[in-house]
Amino acid sequence: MRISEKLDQILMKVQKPTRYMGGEVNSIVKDPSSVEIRFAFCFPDVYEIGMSHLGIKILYHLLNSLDYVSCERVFTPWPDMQEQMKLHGIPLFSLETKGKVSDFDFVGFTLQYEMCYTNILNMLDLAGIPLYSRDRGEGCPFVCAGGPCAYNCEPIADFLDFVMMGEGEEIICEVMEEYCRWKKSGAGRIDFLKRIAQIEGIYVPSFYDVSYHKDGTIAAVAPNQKEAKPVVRKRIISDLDHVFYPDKIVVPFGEVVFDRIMLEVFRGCIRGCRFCQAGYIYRPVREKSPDTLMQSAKCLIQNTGYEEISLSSLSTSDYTRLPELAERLTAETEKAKVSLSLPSLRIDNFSIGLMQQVQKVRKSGLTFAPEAGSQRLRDVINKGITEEDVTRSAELAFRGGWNHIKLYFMIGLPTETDKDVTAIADLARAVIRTYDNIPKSERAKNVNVTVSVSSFVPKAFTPFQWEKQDTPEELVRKQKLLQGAITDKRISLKWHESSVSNLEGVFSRGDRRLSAVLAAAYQKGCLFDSWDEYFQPALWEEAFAECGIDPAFYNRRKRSLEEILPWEHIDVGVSNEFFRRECQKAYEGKTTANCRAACAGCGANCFGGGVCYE
Amino acid sequence: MSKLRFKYGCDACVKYVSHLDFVRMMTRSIRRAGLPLSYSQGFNPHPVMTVAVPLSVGMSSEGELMDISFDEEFEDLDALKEQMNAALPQGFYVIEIKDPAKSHLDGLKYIDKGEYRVCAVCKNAAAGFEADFLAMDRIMMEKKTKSGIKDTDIRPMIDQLSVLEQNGNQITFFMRLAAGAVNLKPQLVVDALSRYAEGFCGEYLSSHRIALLSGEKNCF
Repeated sequence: MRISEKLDQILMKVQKPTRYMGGEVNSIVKDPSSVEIRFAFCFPDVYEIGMSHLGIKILYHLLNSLDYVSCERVFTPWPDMQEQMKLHGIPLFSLETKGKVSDFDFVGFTLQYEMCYTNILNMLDLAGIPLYSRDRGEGCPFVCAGGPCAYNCEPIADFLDFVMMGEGEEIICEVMEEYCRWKKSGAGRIDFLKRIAQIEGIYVPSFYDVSYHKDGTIAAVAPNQKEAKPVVRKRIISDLDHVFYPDKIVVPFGEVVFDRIMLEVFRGCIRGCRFCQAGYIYRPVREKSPDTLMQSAKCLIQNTGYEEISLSSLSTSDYTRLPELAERLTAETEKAKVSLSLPSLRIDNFSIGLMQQVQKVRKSGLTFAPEAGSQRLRDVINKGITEEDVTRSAELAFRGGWNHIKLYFMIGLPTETDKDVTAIADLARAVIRTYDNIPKSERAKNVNVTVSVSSFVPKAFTPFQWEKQDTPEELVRKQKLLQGAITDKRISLKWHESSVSNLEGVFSRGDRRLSAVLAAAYQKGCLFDSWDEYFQPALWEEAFAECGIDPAFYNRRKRSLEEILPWEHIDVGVSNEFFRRECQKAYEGKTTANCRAACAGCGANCFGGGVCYE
Repeated sequence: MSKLRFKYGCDACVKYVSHLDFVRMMTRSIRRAGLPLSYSQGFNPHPVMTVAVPLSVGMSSEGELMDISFDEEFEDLDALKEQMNAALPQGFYVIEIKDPAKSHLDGLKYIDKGEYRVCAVCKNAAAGFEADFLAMDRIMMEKKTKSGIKDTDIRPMIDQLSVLEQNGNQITFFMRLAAGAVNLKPQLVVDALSRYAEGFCGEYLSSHRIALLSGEKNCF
């Protein structure tokens, strides 16, 4: 019986069957016999999360634009579906042709967050593909990965055949071309890896040997094949106006998390907040022109029928031509009866005016991210805003009719003291005071300030990559301290689970020895770790103990600035020298100007484009 | 503004699309087709569409009805149908479009029956079991209602029931059941047959809606 026939017997028994159905508008189904290469694009989380992700939309349509490639989507089946699949002997399958994933030429994972790693093992397992790359023989698909976590993919290095570093639009096509040539040559599996190892941005983990000192730190990372580059530099697209961007995207039947058109206005971020990995790994900042964006917007509105479009970037207010784009886009969206949403906008006179114009209907909450409570700590993390900036923005918002403000903070930041923690409450009170000082006739009736606190996780490729992470106990103590400092009923406090952050901290700066822990945790039943209802810290503890690995080595240790880091052979264009300088400046409480105000010499000008040459 | 009645169908490949997902899909398809859908006034404008009797998840159909309002009048309803069919995802299709004034009834709310083709796997089926079943005065089944699960007599909700064909262990029924405000699902009838009909023991497989009726009349 074919998979599609078997599915018919089980889909009535699972939640949200449209997750597994395929057939959405703009999905692309090609006859497998008509193409040279079948690429299974795997997102290691459930459909609604994966389908909200912009990267998969771009690469799915890009790969399918090549007539010799068929790209099909695969998501992690929810546990209820996995149970049914096991019961009926259904292997992991693609949505487009319901084909077995093990029959594809490539199985590519996008790595968006560390807590999806067990899902990768789970998907390989459901597909019947050997977990470890060394166990895969001729005829087995090549398992590859990309995305932000790929820059330090060492914890999953043993499971991956190769990794694509950086923006995928060009490199993935080069790999496809090389695959065709390799296939015709009739050479073996390792030959293909040797061929692509010479492409800039390709990292083949098995081509590198890692040796360790007695204390567990890394002694050296050395290539063991002449084709492997000593340092692998990420790829970027220099000119975003002349790169593939889909003019249609798949429109899901069921509701997904971001169920709208996403218009990517630029890549990178000029800010350089010292805790933020995204702020460094996507450097340098490159913008799209309003003409390109308008062209995309019109096509996407027409081809999807979506009723909402949102601007996407790390900090939309930093888009240099925002007023022009906003004016043209609002004209277009009004005509097409599409609503425009503007996340990650700094609150100033311009943005308030814009929001009032486009969000005619509801005035829901506005969000600010001061990230730290005290000015001292905000300087340490290089979050270039002052208390006055926050209260001035809040006043604009309250006078504009908004009455709910969300403030985002982190606790556990380097150099943090209890005074910095309670300063979070002071800042929330200052926002409330701003409201109280506005005459009643000029503000909304009630006010509500939500303080949302997450735990700082030190990340690779940031100035804080050498820092130690607070213990879950210490974080809980700080949470309680903060809770005690908040007395106003109009301020509500929300925080995130700290034991997940703890594990995230281990894997974000982990090395390849953690592959064994992942495999052990998966065998014990760890799955969907980013979902509170499935996260099982006790099983993880067992897995670490069995493998003889102390997680504290990875997240509770202040590393020396000279230590060889597990990701040191990967080059994101920002130098370690720069990170050391930034780390020193952080301790001194000195800020660094943004890329447009003054170049800080991070090294990203090596790519020869973007903001570095404006 | 013009209100039009759409008769449409959906194949088995899209039978898992729920009613809410269907409405969203329909709205987006109309927008893709570039048709001037009418929106309600007020703070949260929504498209002016009425689906006659929402189809249950898992069911295919060739006789669904809905009314859709547009800001414009249409002369050529066949062209409109083609335009819609080009925009709909595979598996959904418009069969015909009519001015509701020319329909047998003007409001979809008068619909009270649906006709189905229902498949079941049966371990045994003695001749004439359905006649004995229909001869029962009362057929009590646990039925989901607005106020929870209740013991309900479903006999008055069964208008017609017959065996269309029997092929090996698969049996196909024709059923005409209450639909709309009072609604009976074919699966419950198969369950009731298994429980009460002498000589029938089977398991529900799938159903396909053929038409929606008001009294004896097809509503389109």
